[in-house]
Amino acid sequence: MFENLGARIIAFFVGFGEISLLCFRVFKDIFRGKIHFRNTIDQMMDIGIRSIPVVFVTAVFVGMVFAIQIVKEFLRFGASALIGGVMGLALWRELVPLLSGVVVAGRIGAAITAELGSMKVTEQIEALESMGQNPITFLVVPRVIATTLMIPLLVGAADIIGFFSGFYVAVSSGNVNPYSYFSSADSMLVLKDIYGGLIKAGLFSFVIAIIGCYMGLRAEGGAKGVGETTTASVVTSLISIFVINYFLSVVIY
Amino acid sequence: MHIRIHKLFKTFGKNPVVRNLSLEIQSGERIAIIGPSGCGKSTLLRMIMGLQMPDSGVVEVDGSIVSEMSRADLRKLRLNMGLVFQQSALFDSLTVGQNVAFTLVENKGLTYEDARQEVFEKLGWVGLKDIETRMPAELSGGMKKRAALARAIIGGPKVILYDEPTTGLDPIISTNIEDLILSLNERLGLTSIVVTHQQSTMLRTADKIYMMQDGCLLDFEKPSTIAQSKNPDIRSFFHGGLKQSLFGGNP
Repeated sequence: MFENLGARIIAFFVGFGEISLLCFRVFKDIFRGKIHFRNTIDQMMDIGIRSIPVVFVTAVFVGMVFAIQIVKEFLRFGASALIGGVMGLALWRELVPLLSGVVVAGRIGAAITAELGSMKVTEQIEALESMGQNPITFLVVPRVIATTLMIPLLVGAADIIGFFSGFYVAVSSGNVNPYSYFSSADSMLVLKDIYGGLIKAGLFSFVIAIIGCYMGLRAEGGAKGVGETTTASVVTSLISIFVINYFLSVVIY
Repeated sequence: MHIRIHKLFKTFGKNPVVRNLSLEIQSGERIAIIGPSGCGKSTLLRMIMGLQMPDSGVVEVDGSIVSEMSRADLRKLRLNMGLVFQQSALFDSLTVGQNVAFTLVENKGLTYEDARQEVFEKLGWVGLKDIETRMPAELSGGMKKRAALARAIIGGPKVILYDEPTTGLDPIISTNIEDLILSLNERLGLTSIVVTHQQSTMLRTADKIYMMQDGCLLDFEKPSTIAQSKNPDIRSFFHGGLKQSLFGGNP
């Protein structure tokens, strides 16, 4: 039992070390300007467009559900003037960045791992190297840059969509005064609430992309191996962003 | 290109794959390396190209030791070599034309349009015309191998390495691929190293045939003498009698 536990602990630290090394290599390439621009633009288009439906649908329903949950309670305590502000705080600081991270881990993180994993097991990564290309520069850096830049942009838009979805529910089913919804948001929210959420979204996206690439590059064992690695990638990304979310919330707010 | 391999060792985990292997390949030579699955043939090819590094020993190409090369020199070395992979390894997301043009676009800075004429020419050499817009998934195994061959030669390599070029193909397609290897070697004057299990491939594409067993290299034979080799292991493998190694080794 102790041997098994020890092996798991060692594997955890080895994995952590390898992911840190991959991060270092990615930053080294970026700071040296070794960025494959064509691949990066392709990935930005691909990842951005692929993420629009899931992120926006998530924002709409999170906004509406949260409004349903709080409107009745706030009206009961005569605090309808606070609804807009509380909606903004909850959505921008926490709900939209975190839940977008969750759906992006499932959508983009899984896609990155599956794609690179399938390239690995079919010798395409070695083929790249045999033709003088560095897989980190050619495959990893474009995916990391694209995910880290595009997802916060979408989260910014999703913040607004979520806020207005909540507004629709609050006004239509809770008869909340539209003016008080916006004025409470205006008085309670500060710029840090918005950029804090966007910083979170950026870091979550970076972590999802790095873990996705790392897992994909170490996939082995054919289609079954790629499937298992993809599952492990999503689970690791989810746990990582929940842990990081706690520490970021402490630091930013 | 002159390749010298001296006392090479490579281990994966606790499993020694290449053990004390020495070999010298002169420029323009055509050699085949045969042996049972898991005996280290493909690993040897990868070490020649610097895709894997040995635990000890040296691979020397034109006097330079591969494991001591800088990243830039290693890149130059790889651009002077072509490797045809066992699974063809065409990039799924690119068309056949883009696959073949890859090295011209990524390493020589050409646009796909600039490289197109050469892509047509190389696809013509391997008998694949009018398929440059098709995706690799739409090709048969033999067509993939030919496209991979076109991709390997388009950069003008001096050495070409074939990893099981005819494995998994039917006898007619295998013969076509062997013919292609022969004609390309002749046309381009390449040094070629073919790793194979297939009897006809080793006999037709090489001047010297080396056998690897348990990570070591046995004596070489010529295609005309291998059937009567004095080494019982070579003779036995050639005649299909090395069942223990063939079916007991790790693929």
